[in-house]
Order: sequence, then structure tokens, then C-alpha cells
Amino acid sequence: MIRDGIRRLFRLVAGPRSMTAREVDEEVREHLDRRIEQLVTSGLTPGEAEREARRKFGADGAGVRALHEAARVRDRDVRLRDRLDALVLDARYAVRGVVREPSFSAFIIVTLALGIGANAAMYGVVDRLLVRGPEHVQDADRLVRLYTNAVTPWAGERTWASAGYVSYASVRDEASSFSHVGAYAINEGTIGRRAEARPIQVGWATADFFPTVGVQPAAGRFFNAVEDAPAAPQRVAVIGYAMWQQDYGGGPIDGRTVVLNGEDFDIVGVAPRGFTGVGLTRVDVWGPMSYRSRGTSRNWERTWNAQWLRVIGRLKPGVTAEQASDDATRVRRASYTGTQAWERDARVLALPIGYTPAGTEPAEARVTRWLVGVAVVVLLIACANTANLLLARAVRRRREFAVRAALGSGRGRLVRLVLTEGMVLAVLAGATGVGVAGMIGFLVRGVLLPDIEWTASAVGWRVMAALAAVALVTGLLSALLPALHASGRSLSIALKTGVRDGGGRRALVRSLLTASQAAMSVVLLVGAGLFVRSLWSIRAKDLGIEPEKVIVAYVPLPNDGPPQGETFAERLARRRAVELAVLDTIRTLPGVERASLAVGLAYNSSFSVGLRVPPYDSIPTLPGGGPYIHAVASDYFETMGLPIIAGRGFTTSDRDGSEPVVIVSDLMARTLWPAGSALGQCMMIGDAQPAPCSRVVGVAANANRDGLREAPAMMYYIPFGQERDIGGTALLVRPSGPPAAMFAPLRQAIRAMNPEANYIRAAVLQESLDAQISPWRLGATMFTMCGVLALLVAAVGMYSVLSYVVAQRRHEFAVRAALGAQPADIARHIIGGGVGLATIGVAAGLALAWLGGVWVEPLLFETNARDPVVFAGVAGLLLGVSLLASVGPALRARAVAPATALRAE
Amino acid sequence: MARQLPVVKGTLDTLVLKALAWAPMHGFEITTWLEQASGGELGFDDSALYQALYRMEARKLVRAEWGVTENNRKARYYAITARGRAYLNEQTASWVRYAGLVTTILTQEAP
Repeated sequence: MIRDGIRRLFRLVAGPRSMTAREVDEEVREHLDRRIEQLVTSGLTPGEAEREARRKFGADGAGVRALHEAARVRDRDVRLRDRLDALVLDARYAVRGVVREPSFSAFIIVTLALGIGANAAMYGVVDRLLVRGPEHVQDADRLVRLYTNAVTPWAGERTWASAGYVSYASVRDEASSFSHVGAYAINEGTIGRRAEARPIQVGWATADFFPTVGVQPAAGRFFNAVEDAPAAPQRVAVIGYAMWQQDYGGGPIDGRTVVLNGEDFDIVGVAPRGFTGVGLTRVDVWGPMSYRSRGTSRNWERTWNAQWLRVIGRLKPGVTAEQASDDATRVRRASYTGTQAWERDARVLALPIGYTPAGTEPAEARVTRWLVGVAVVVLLIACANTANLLLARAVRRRREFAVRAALGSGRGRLVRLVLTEGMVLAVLAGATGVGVAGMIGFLVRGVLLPDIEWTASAVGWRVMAALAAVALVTGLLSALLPALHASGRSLSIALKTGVRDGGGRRALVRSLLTASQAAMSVVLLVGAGLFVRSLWSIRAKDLGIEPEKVIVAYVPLPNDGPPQGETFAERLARRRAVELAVLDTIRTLPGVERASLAVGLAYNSSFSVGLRVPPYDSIPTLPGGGPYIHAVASDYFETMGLPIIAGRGFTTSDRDGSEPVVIVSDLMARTLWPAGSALGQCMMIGDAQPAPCSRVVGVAANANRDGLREAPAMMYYIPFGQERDIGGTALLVRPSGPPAAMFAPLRQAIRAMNPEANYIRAAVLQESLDAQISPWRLGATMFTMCGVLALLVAAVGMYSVLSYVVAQRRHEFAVRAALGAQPADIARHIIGGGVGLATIGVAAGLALAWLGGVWVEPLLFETNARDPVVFAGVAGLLLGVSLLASVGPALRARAVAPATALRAE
Repeated sequence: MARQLPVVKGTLDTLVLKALAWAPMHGFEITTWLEQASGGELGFDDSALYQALYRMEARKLVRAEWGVTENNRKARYYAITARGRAYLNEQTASWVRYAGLVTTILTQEAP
């Protein structure tokens, strides 16, 4: 009944009698007329005949109304069918057009596919990096990481993510803003024993970490609070999904064990596929935090002096991150039992879990956001290019369209035809784009962001959906202008002028499209140039040491358990002896140029201990903190490539028990003894009272401690063996050949000395830096790829515009030539037009890049965002390419033969 | 005039298709063809014929277009489609079988 109502409503809206109803009336009228004629012929009077005809036709009025309804239903069905037929016809026509000009179509499809694919791939990256967060984390935006923010006496205000167990426990027990609080630490570890051991990433987590994240195990269970009890932690483990599949065949885990860091752990569960905790990097095995914590210090549950874990919390509904910060700060201050004033005043900040350990948004995320912009620009360029080429073709097909229109094709039909063509091209491009997205996704994920655990495939359904959407929008965007162009024609003019006329507004539109392509290419290329220059700056940066030439290995020490029958100092001495023995052996290996040992290693670990230097009451502080201490064996400076500026380096006779000596960094020497020489000065190192006087015997060049960007800090070096209260020895090897060839003999030699050793960690020191360089590498690669692509597309766009200009103006050129114009003048005219367009585009692009520089600057590395070399280079490149693109059409214009051209029209 | 037989429900479509199987016709031609073929014994309203035509047009059994008659009058001409022809054959076969069965049963001698 509602249907009837609606029907009535529609009929009302329809207004005047519809076409269908008029046709029915006409048909009925004709029928009645014929019937009347028939009846009159058979002898009835006209009046009787009409009555009889109406009777025969059926119940008066009602019959006709029923017919109207039946016809309406019929026409609705038929019209729908017609529309579908038209669509199929259009599509078939469009496909024929695509096939007829294969190179034209292929070019459009490839450029669009690159644009679409790049966007889809970036969508996949953004989705993981910026939107959804790590896999299996429920409501990532309600999860916060707790940072400490304090004004340190050595380095001013700092924010850091590391915390001690005590700060985790106090927030867990006393803060009211969180429904759950958990803590975790990701550490390197080994799995398996001896030679079969391999390196893995171990996630040490408190039992409440898993409910905080909201993750469910794939099999078994996560460990509980009893197993993670600080007093008696148990050796239980939850293995990662990948390990479960590879090492356990995905079978039952009851009663199975895993050898973690040389000890047997009972497997209680399996983490779901792709679970990486709240980070994005791979985690192979999860173990109880308390078990890990025992190794940190004796009072680990209560001390404020050791920080080895990260704290996360889930906000209660309605609680903001600010409220949670204040709450946690209050709790921290109330429970702080230490004596440091600055630490008592420290604040707790609740920040997104995706932030860096320093409480900032990761550079990868910021660069990725830019790359999304880049991908969109590439797509816009591809769209502009497609629109341009379709417009050009529309000009060529004016006569065809005019003929079609003359034969009765409606204007709407012509628009639809052009739009369908655009859509067909976009759909084909979208299909090709799947491959492109896969390749770009692979590149970005595998090569540029290798540390992130990508679980979803590069082209998942989300990406496919994004791809389809982008393809449709692209098709519409690029076909819109040509479609409007096709509809806005005057038939007779088109029929008369043929291909020739193309001037005026439409030529302007095409020129604008070309110029804007050039402008966008300039922006991308400037971006590429800036990132490439950043990479150069990084390469050229003097880090003091030479990280790419040094292998860092760790000498495995026996897992002794608590000291028995020896003092702590005796055990330390024994361990040092092992390390020195390994060092001696390594030095004899063929291919080893230099080798040394170090406690405190650039980009890895740094230490700061009590230090007094007469006559200072307190050491001046520098922005980078410190002074930082390193304990290094002989040959350290030669191994690291760090020059000794004055005095001497260490020799084998500088050791535990020999005269305390020290080497200071250049900056330290200049800071502490600005007037005189540092050599021979006295430094009292360590917290012991009284500390012995260490004599300065050398000055070394400055070296970076943390990586690429850091504030200046003082450093000093003491002989390996003379250090107290710091530990963790790295074996440093400088091979004479390529480092890659050195790993196997190195590991073999170390294993020969310690057959019980598990996996022996060894890596080029540079690898510690790579993670820091990755945002720039990502930016440089992607900007360059997109920039080159944009340049190519813009060049072809310009070539096509000029070619059509030449085609359209053949007649004019012929007339000019006939009137005596020199071929060279005509060629110059065309080239001038092309380069002129490019100049406008370049100017606009440079202006945009100049303005946009403000936002890119923070992402660059010691590079001016308005670097004149980059700007000039890109401008020159673009103009050069535009010149090249103009030459072909210019030559063709030059070769127009007046007689042929004029006769051809 | 003798009392006319009402058309059995659903058979008008088939009858119309039979008419169109000879040649495309306009509505009135179909009416006259049916009247002649049945000797005037089938009774149906002319409007029912158009109902049938519209229905079958929507089902793609016939198609229609406006044309001009021999004496230059406008008319809507209907033609049978391939689908219509198939439908006609199928309906004819089943009608013949049905009618035969009903006849056999009804004309059986009582035991």
C-alpha cells in the first residue's frame, strides 16, 4: 500500500503526462479509430460504431488506466535495459579506442598505473605506520606510553621512555586513570644451544602487558602474575607465531620447551600471527619481565637508579592523556624515595605508543606523511597528463563527434562516451597499478623500512579497496575536462573547420595543464634534490670514528651464576683476562688490520661516572651531557680511525694496575684547559673517595656518541681494565678487506676459544647508525623516483601538447611559409612556446618549493631547504627537458610543405 | 451472435505470439487476425490484448517500434523476438499435451 502511495507521489512529481502515457493514448486512439471504421463499413452508424468499439475495448476508463500502468512498468524495464545496453556499447567503443591507439593508451595506462599504484602502496604504509598501529593492539589510540620528563642538571630538559620496575609498579598500583598498566622490554637474545644457536628478539613483558594491549593468544595462554612474580619468576615462554610454525610445525605445545639465552623455558602459549607488542619490529619469544629483571641489579624491584623497561597504560574511558599524565606524575612524586632533587621533580607524560624513546613522533612517520603528499602529486600529474592527452584526442576527433551529434547522438551521450573512455583507461590502469603497488610496497617495506614487521601483504584488501577508489576518482578527474570539451561544441563550426581550430580557451586549458605538470615536477624534484643532499651531508659528515670500517662482536662469557668462592673483583679480572686472550687471538687472524676492546661504544652504550678535575669545583656542563667515559684497550684509536691529536694512544702496558692514565677528547681539552695544554693534567675518575689522580697522556679527536645529530659533549678514555662500576665489553675489529668476509673467520675463532658459546653476535658498527639514516634514505629514494617519473610524464605531456599545436596550425604554418616565413622562424616559434610554458611552470614550481621549504626543513639533514644548487639544478633540468620535448614538434612544423598542407584541408 | 468462449487465463499471450509469428503487426491487426482465426468465437476485451503486448514487451518476448501503415497512418508495430519464438514453441507443446490429456480423461467411458 505504501508502494501505491509512493507511486502516486511520483506521478504527481512527474507533472505533465509522460511520454509513455501519451504513446498509450495514441495507440488506443488509433485502435478505436480503426475499429470504428471497420464497424461503419459493416453497416453501423458512426454513433453506434463508436459505442460498440468502446465496449469491445473493455471497461471504459479502467482499461486505459490499467494500460497506462502496464506500459509504465514496461518502459521502466526497457529503459533500464537500454541504459545497460548503451553502457556496454560505450564500454565496447572505449575499449576499441584503447586498442586502436596502443601506444597512446599504453602511455596513459602506465602513467596512471604508477600514480595509482604509488598511492595504494603508500596507503598500505600509512595504514600501518600512522593509522592502525601495531597488529593485535586494541584501540591503539587509548593506549599510551609513559615517559619521564625532567630537567637534568647535565643536559637540561629531557624526555625518555626507559623506566625502572618501581615506577611501573607505583603507577600500576596507585594511578586511577588507567584500566591496565603493563611493562615490557625488547632485548636481543639467543635461541638454541652452542653452534645451533641463532639470534632472536625477546620481548620481556609483565603478565599484565597482554591484557593492557588487548591481545589474545593463538594457542595456549600468556603467562600469569604468579609466573611473573618478582620474588620467584618462572621460566615460561610464549613463542611467536612464526617460530611456532617453523620450529614446532604449528603442533601442540604442551610440554614443549625452548632454549632461551641458554636456559630451558616451558612454552605455555603462542602469540598471534604478526604480534609485535606495541612496537613495529619483530618479536620472536615473550618471557616474564621479572625473570629478565633479576639480571639488572640487586634491588631491582625498588631501585630508582636502573631503567630497563618501558611502561604502557590503557586509559580508562573518558580519561584524557593529559589527565593521565598528571595522575601518573602525582603517583611518581609520592612514591619517589631517591635523593636527587631533579628526579623528585620529574613529570610523567602519557604520549602515543608510536612515539620514539625520546618522546617525539618518529622521523619515519613524518617522512611518510610527506611521501603521501608526493604520491598524491604524482597521481595529479598523471591525471593532468591523461586529461591533456584525452583533450588532444578530442580535438582530433572533433569531426567524428560532430558527425555523431549530427546523426542524433545526444550531448549527454557524447559526454558519457568520453567519461567511459576515461574510466576504461583508469580501470586498466588500476589493474596494472596492483603490480605497481606490490613493487613499490616491496621497496618501501623491504628495502627502506626493513626493521618493521610487515604482516599484511603489500597488496591486501584494504589496499585494493583504496586502489579501486583511487582509480575511479582518477578516471573521473582525467576525463572530466575532455568530456566537457566534447559537449561544448558547435556542430557546424566543427564540421567546417575539422582538426584545425583548437585555439582560444581550450588551448589555454591545455597549456595550463602542461605548465602545472611542470610545476609539480619541479616541486617533487626539488624535494628529491634536498633529500639526496641530506644523504650526501650524512655521508660526508665527520663522525670522528669510521663506523663502516669496524666490526663489533661480543665475546660470550660463561653463565656463571652467583659468584662462589671468588670476589666480584676477582671474577671481573677473570672475565677481562678471557676477553684480552680473545683479543690477542683475533689480532693474529689473517685479514685483521687492527682490533681492540671497548666498554662504552658509540651508538650503543655510554657511561658517565663521577669526575673531579682540579682546580674546578664542578665540571662545566655541555649541552650534550657527559663527560662520557670509555674504557678501551690498546689500538682502540687506530681501530676506530679516530686520530690522536696530541700525546699518545694506549698500549698493551696500559692496563689494570698500571699507572692511571687518561686520554681526553679535543673538546674536553679545550673546555677544561682553554689556556694551556691538557697533557700532564690530573683527573680524578670514579666515585671512590679519594679517587686516584689519572694523568692525561693524550688528546683524541672528537667523535659522535649517539649518532648523526647531537649536541657537543666531552669524552675521555681510560685503559681497559682500569674502569670501575661500568661493564659490557665490545670486541672491535678493523679488517683490511671488506667487513662482510670477516664475519665467518671471526665467529669461528671466538667459538674455538669457547665451544660452549651460543650465537656470537657480530655486526658492522655502521648498522647501529642505519636506523637513524633510514628516514632520509626513504625520503631520497621515494622523492627521486617520483620526481623522475613526474619529469618523464611532464616531458611527454609537453611533447604531446606541442605536437597537437603543430597539427592544428599546419594550415597557418603553410600560409606563413607561403608568405615567405623562414622554416627556422617557425621552428623557433614552436620551441619558444614549449620552453615558455616550461618557464612558467618552473617559476610556479620553484615558488611553491620555496614556500614549502619551511615545512621540509626539519626533515632535512644539515641542508638548507632553499638550497640554491638544488633549485638551480632542477630549473635547468626542467628547461633542458622542455627544450628536448619541443625539438621534435618544431622540426615537424618546420617541414610543413605549403602546397600539401593547404590542399589537405 | 453465439456466446463467445472466454479466453483461458494465460493463453492470450501465446495466441498473440502465434499471430506475430506470421508477420509483425500493429495492435488492431492482431485483433482482427485473432477474430478471423477463431471465427469470432474467442471473447476478450481489446484492452486485454494491449495488456498482453506490454507485458511481453517488458519480458522481451516482443519488441515494438512506431511505424507507418500502408495508408500512411501512425501505428505501433509489434514483432516477435527470438526469445518470443522459443516461448511460443514451448507453450504450444505444453498446451497441446495438456489439452490432449484433459480431453482423454474427460472423454473416457464411465466404467
